[in-house]
Amino acid sequence: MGKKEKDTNATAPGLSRRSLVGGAVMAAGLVAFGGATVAFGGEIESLRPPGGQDADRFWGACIRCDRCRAACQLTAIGVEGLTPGIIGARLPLMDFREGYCDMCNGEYRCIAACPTGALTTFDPYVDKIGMAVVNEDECQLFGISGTCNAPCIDACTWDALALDGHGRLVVDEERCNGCGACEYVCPTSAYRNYDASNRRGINVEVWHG
Amino acid sequence: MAKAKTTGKTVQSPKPSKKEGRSKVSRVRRYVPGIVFALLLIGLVTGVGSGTLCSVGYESIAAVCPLGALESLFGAGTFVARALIILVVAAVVVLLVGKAFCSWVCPIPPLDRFLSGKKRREADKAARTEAAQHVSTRLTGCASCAGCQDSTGGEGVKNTGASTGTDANGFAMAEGSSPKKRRFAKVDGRHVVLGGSLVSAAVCGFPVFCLICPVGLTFATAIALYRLVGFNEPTLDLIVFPLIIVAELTLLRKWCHRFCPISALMALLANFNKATRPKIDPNLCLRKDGTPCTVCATVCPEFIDPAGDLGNRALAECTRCGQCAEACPTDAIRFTKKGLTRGNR
Repeated sequence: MGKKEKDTNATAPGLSRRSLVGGAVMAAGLVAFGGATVAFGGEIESLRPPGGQDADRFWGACIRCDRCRAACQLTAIGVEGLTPGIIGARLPLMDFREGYCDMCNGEYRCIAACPTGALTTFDPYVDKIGMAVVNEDECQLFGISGTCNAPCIDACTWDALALDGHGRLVVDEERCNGCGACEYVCPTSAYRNYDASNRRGINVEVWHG
Repeated sequence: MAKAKTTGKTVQSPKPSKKEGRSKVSRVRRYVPGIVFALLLIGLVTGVGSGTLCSVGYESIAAVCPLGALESLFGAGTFVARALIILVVAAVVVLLVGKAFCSWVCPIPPLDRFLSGKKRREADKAARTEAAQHVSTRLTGCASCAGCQDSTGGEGVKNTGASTGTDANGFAMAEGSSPKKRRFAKVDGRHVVLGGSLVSAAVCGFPVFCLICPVGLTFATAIALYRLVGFNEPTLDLIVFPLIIVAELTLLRKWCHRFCPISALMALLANFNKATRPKIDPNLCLRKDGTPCTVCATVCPEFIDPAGDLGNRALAECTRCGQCAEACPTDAIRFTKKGLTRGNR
């Protein structure tokens, strides 16, 4: 090998060495860049598609190929932007304003589409995409004049939502798996009482178990 | 990566002794990266879920970027059977068609041409001509050593010590006529970047190179545009991603030759590919009677010498673009054994 490089260098001076130096700078830059994004930004907490809840595995394996987002029939999977930090750019996240997760009736097209194993198996009775949390400032049922026919309760196919004795919305944390159907149908800040909080009456939030 | 597509197309050999027909492959090839990109965009908009070049397929049957697969194995540190299977398939494809992905599918070379000005294109052309002159010098060296093309035995023994493929004796037109030592693609900056990609994935715990990969970012830009139009989701991505691509292609000149780790990965395996490399019909090649013809080496964008492997880069770097076959004045270059005249197959 060494001899060959010497031979070609004799006729094409500098080409190979310049390339090697450039490559070394680039490689060092990659390690530094990766280290810096981890050190300063850290991993961004967002709702990930089903099966992507093991953060170490998800971050390590996801190559940001867009296949899970494209596979989702209900457009519940969106794309992480640059705003929270470049480290999260192009990662898939759950966007319950555009759709919700119906688990494809157990088919999990996103998991099937993931080529690197960043999304693994998901059991809707055990695992959770996130947890629905009622926002008492926004939910109409908590208002002075509680007028909402609570479409979230009808939308929840996991029987995780109910009204308590005072007609207030409560979440059964055992049953909720963060499918986002409640957030998707919540009319608050969709077309009534929009106060620019950009929150709905019920929001799926990151769950730490 | 849409390897299957490349396999089908590169295997087609131009019809022998048909002047009009032979340049077709090369001419068609120019549009293939654009067509692939357009098809993937249609898949994106219509929701087929065909994916990007990072991973392309239908539902659970998909190809994946071999570098991405490796990075994810290093990043997650776990054994994923599917990624390994995909890597094996990608390796087989490279063994069959070499680095054909680079000129048939990858959107970066056309983008690079689009971004480079007239001055730079002329500089590239001058560099190619200079590389061809190196070939010419090596050829003349060959002609001066008496009868090195005819008598392989004696000369071979005399020069075995220096026989590396770049020296005079390495020039052997008819394959198998001399026990020619295999010339491997040089380990260069790309391989260092490849190492850096894997190390950074393992150290930082996520595929770092994917963040700046120009191929991925080309598709990411398209996706950002699609999200803007389809979902009213204006993002910074739309400005930052193209900026990163432009910076890489203009500041880090000759990205494909000097930095691209995907190219490095494919070159490692392409060393062992022989089936679809450019082959010379020794009855037709002008070099048979000592003419120092370097037309093929002059047009080659990879700085290789298809006729004798005397170029600055090894024959393993061939991307099957077919420009040498198109330019050859005697139509002596084939990519399959089919086109060669009888007795030289």
